[in-house]
Amino acid sequence: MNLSAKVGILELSNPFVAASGTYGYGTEYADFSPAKEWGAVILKSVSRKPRPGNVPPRCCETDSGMINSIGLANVGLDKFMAEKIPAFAKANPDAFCIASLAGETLDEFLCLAENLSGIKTIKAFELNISCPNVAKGGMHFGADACASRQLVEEMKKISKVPVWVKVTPSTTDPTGVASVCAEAGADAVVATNTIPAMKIDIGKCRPVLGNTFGGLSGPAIFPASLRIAYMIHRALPELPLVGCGGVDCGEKAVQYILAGCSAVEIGTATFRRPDTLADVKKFLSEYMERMGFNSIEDFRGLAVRK
Amino acid sequence: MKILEKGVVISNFEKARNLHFMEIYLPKISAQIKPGNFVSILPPAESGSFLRRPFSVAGTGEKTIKLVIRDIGKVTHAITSLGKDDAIEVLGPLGNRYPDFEPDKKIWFLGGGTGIASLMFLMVERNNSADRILWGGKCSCELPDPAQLPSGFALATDDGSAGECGNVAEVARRWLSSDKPDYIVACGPKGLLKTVQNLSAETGIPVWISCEEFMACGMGACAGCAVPLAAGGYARVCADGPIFKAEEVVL
Repeated sequence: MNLSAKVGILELSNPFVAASGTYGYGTEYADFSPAKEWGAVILKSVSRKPRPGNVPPRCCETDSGMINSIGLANVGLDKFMAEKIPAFAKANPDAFCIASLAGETLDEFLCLAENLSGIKTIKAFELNISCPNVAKGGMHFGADACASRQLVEEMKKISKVPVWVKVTPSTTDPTGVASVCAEAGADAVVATNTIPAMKIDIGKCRPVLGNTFGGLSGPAIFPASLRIAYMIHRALPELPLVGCGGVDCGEKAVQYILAGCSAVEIGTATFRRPDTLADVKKFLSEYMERMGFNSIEDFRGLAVRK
Repeated sequence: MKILEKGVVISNFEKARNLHFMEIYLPKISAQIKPGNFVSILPPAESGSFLRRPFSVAGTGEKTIKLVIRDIGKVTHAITSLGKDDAIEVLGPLGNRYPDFEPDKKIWFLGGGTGIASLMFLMVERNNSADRILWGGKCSCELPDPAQLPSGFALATDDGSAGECGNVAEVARRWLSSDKPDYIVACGPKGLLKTVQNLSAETGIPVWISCEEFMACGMGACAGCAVPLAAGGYARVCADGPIFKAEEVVL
């Protein structure tokens, strides 16, 4: 079965993409779902300076998912370039690698792009303008159409690789944000990121997370994220779209494709089942065979057109 | 190499109130696991829980691993409700391991609650009769009958209802008046680890601790199980730990 997927000009061996923040620096899951098995893997968001991350506890469980407040903990640009990218490239010479960029300011995003744009291993950027867990986690870009437009326009001037924009679900107008990104030249929009959430410890009478709030992920958010992807594709059918949020089985991945997504990110599910990728690939093959679809394009967006 | 393995429960004994000693047939993981490593268990479906749960390993048998689990919530209840021949899915070995302590050095193992697990594993592997192991709990009802434990086990309870009276660090302090280990290894609740950390600072005896933190991936990918480092920043309990030198971490 031909599982290849096309996201704009990028051709992926399959539509499954390891979501940023859940796949580390691309070597941690080598024993279960090595990078080359994915259509693409997105490494943990990198910022210009190292970030220690938020005060623990940083995660907790919820019904059908979890809340995290990692706080963009990462090694910073210098170490990312000197250690993480070479280690990834050595372990995964054939893998398709995307760098997730996190900046507090436009300049920081541009600095990241300038430094990483020439690196052969990195085939695309995903702009994280939707992290809910740090004061300036990029959400102020995601929530502000003017700032989003300027960011994407400037990034496109500098970047030698396609630019994906990961948008927030925390907006009343996801289609508007996607539309601004598309007009500014984004090569794809990723819908969406975690949903702001919290949990309270009734014994300690205080919030569970050290940062009080975090981002909800896992199957719990799937229907809400799917709706946003569907709305974006319905409004902007030409815009390459990547679904993200709550996929833990092939059936949910197929729903994103039927909603118009060319690729589907998988993250939190891998924590529960490190072998999720093999399961979703198998399901997708069987589904396509059963339905008589020869390629992803045969059924992508079908649910929006029906 | 980390392995995802479908295991079978060989035995499950409740050796004290809600405290279960379980042995699980896992030939691949058993062949690789070392003292200090942990495994991560897929919650049985009836628990309704999403994330795996980490457990220290208390030893190995013939193609098996041994666990000590306290039934304190829906996941641990579902796991400790499993009986002989029930299936269980386990991911491991995870985390780092205890250092290779010199065989002729004397070690004290100080454990609280289910923290005793990895200490039992290391003590049995070392097989050094000069080592001592102390297991603390609030009262006798939390701890197994000493007759059911390997020889050399000492118990400590806050109320003196079993073994020596006092918490683990207090009892270890008393021991120090007549004996002294080369190293201390501790695992248990944060309060216990803090007192043992202080003991290390006071006596200069090198101490290793096994830390616990809520985990999401258990594989070093998500940075969810952060523990603050004395030198600044954080370490991941699942991948940089769970074993740390006592002075490295801020509890």
